[in-house]
Amino acid sequence: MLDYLGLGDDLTEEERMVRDTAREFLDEEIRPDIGEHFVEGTFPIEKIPEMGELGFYGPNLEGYGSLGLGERAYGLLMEELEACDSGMRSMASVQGALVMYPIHAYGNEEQKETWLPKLGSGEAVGCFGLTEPNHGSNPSEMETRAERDGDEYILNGNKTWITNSPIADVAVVWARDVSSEDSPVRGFLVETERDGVSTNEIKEKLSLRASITGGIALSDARIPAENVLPEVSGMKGPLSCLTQARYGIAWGAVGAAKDAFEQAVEYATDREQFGKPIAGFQMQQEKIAEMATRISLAELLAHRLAELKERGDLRPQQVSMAKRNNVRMARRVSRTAREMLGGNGITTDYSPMRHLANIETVYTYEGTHDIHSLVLGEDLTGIAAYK
Amino acid sequence: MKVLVTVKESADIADDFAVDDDGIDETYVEYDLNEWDDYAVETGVQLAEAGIADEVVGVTIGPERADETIRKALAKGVDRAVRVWDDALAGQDLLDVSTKAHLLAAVAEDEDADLVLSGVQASDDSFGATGVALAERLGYEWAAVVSDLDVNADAGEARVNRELEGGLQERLTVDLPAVFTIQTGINEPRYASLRGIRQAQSKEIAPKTPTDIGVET
Amino acid sequence: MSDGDVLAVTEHRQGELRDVSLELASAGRALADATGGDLHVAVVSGDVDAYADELSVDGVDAVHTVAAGDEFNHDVYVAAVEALVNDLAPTQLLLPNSVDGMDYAPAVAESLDRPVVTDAVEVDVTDDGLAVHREMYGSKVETVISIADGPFAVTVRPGEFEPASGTSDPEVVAHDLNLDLDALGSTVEGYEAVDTGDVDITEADFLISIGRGIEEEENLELIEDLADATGGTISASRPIVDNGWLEKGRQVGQSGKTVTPTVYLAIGISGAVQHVAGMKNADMIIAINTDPNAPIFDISDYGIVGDLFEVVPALTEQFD
Repeated sequence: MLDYLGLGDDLTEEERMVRDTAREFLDEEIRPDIGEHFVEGTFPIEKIPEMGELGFYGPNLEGYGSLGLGERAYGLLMEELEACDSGMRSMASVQGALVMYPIHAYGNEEQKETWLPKLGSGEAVGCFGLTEPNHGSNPSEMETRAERDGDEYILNGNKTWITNSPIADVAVVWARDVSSEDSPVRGFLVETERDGVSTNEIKEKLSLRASITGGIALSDARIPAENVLPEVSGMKGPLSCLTQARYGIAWGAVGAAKDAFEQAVEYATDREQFGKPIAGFQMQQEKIAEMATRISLAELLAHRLAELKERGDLRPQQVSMAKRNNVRMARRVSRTAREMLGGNGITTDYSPMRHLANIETVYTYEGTHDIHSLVLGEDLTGIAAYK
Repeated sequence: MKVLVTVKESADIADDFAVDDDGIDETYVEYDLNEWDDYAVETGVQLAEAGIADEVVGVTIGPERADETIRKALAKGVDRAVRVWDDALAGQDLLDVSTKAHLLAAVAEDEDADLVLSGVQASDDSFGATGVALAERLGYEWAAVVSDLDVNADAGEARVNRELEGGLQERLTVDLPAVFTIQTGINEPRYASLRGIRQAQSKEIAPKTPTDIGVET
Repeated sequence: MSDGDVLAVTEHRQGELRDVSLELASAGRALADATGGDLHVAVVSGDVDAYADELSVDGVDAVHTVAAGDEFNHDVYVAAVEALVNDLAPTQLLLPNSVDGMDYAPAVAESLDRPVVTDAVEVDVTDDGLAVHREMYGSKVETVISIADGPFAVTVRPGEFEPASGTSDPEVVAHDLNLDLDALGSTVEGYEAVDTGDVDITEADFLISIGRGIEEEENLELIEDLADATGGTISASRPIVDNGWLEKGRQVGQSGKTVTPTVYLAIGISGAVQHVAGMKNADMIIAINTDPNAPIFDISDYGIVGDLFEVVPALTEQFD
């Protein structure tokens, strides 16, 4: 794939190997069928354990079966996954950053030992319940309630837009603990097989089709009190998870854009009109130059984020900047790439329109593009526009 | 038992390459673990997983660049590796079969390997001769183009199938120690897992010169 | 014996001399002519006298027989060839680059301390010695390896040289081999044929053969459509069979079947030697490949440089 600035040359051997093994796996096991999964609206569920064995879920965590992989290598993994399809990256993001991360960061010893090895290996699938039908950009107004009853909590509420909820074994559900003072938001580990827990699948999507999306309905669902994540209280819990996931998105978007770019350039150099390859026309060359430049700048941003994250200096606002920029970049690049492919570009034979459709989701999930503008605006001016 | 797997960094060239007097321009060349050796590595690692091999050691002849190739074998489960090289070897255009066999034999003797696995051939030069020449050099038994392998360490023998022409298989019993050249399709080589890649970073690749292992080149 | 003599070692299996044997005889004759030596041919194990008759073809000066066991065993071959070389001192030792050749030729060369070059497609005598032509990078590049004067060993790719023919009356010399056949380090227990399924591709007139270019299993449908439209029989190169997409009985090539259909349509097959060995004697070869440098085009009567995913449906349409 495109590496105009030679960033690949500066990778460590380990980072290159992580990138290559992911690429090899995806090329051989997933890419051949991904267009069909997109059309059918299915995810290659049978590959979930194999991806776990390969270490694709939460490899940047330490201990409990995780690998303590460097953040750049983790980013490269996300890039490769999304170069295949956003659905692949979403699977790994949710499992690693939104489910394993909060258990790792805020869980007790028993919760970590119970869940992290299983989630890491893909033996169990997790999902993350924050968004509700009436509360998207402002999750702090969530309506889902947890009420203490002896040794149990009783949960009520609805969560939606949840990747993998229909196939999940466990959900990290964020709810207001109304039995505590000020009703703080807390995280609950909810096994989906419990009474009062049901999941539905959202089928009629026009984007991120090779990914399973659904909701969780909680109706007097009783869970043991020891299922609460003890080490966090308040919105910091879910928001810190999202920072982790958005870091992966910032890398993943680069992958989707590069894949679209590669297909467009290959097509344009091959496709002949008026007696020469269309890549020989100035208008196409301007598009190619523009795409390569935007991709390279976004890639630099992702690499810088990795450095900051690795040394512990990464601020959530910086992640907002990268998520906002890189997803917008991928949206533009995949659209331009689709355009260069003409009619062929609207079929599943080529990836750009699939990426384009996927990116529409990515553009507004994990913090909409506009909300990230406001996060940056607040950070840069000190004035919160949404308060 | 100890298993030695010979691996080679193999060059692949792009479809539209250019040739000049010096050979093929390096920009068209990509290096990777030789396809046949990938099957040999998998065979060795499966022997370890089955409790038959106590240790699987990789050996390669090649420049420092080849570390990346052998690291891939380490990531797939080979325990440690030896890489043989010096300036004199670097100065040769093409290493002949005998030189390779001498160097690999010295390592095999050094390691006291009970079983040596190599690929049938390299995908670039397609010589297909090193494994058997190595066996002769070592005084080991051997079988070339092995498509099925069942090692009975206690009995000191292995039952193997050789893949002959025309869809015919030859079944034979071979005394150990032995060298087997492994054919593609004998197994399904695994992907290097991220765990394997992590672990491979701390596995040893011992650089040795021919002199170190007692070979004059 | 004079300087420049050639010893060519033949091979047989299950009672039949293999084709490469007569090819070695013709390659050996050409070399012997160029260097002014004699051509000695050797046959080891099996019914050596019957094989010696078959090897009494044009250009063979002497046939050396070594009766020891029935079928190929590399320990026997190594011992026999070593003994013959020590006896005859040929300058050039020619061996087959067959699966059995690969199982003993390198050991013989190593043991005799002769440089070995394998898989020759052409051998020329030059002022400096020998120029051995061979292919690299999956037949994308041909290289020439020069060997200076002196004893050496070359293995010859099956199917590259015209088989020797005619008859002659060579001297037949029987050699005894002092080898305890019960004390060998490897024992051949027998042979088994790979399950070939219900289709015999060797009988087909029109083979539609597919290779790596098909990319994924489900794309086989395209080929099946073409086969339905044309009445052709589907065969494949090795990777397709290794992937389990088609049964072993459909594999064309060195380790599969050798086929001689009227028309062989090679789709997405690069033309690696192992494949070509099994199909180059088809009456007409047509290849479809995206890579204009693919070696398959070297042996094709007609070639289409193009994407099979475009060409094949267009072809199917023509026949439907």
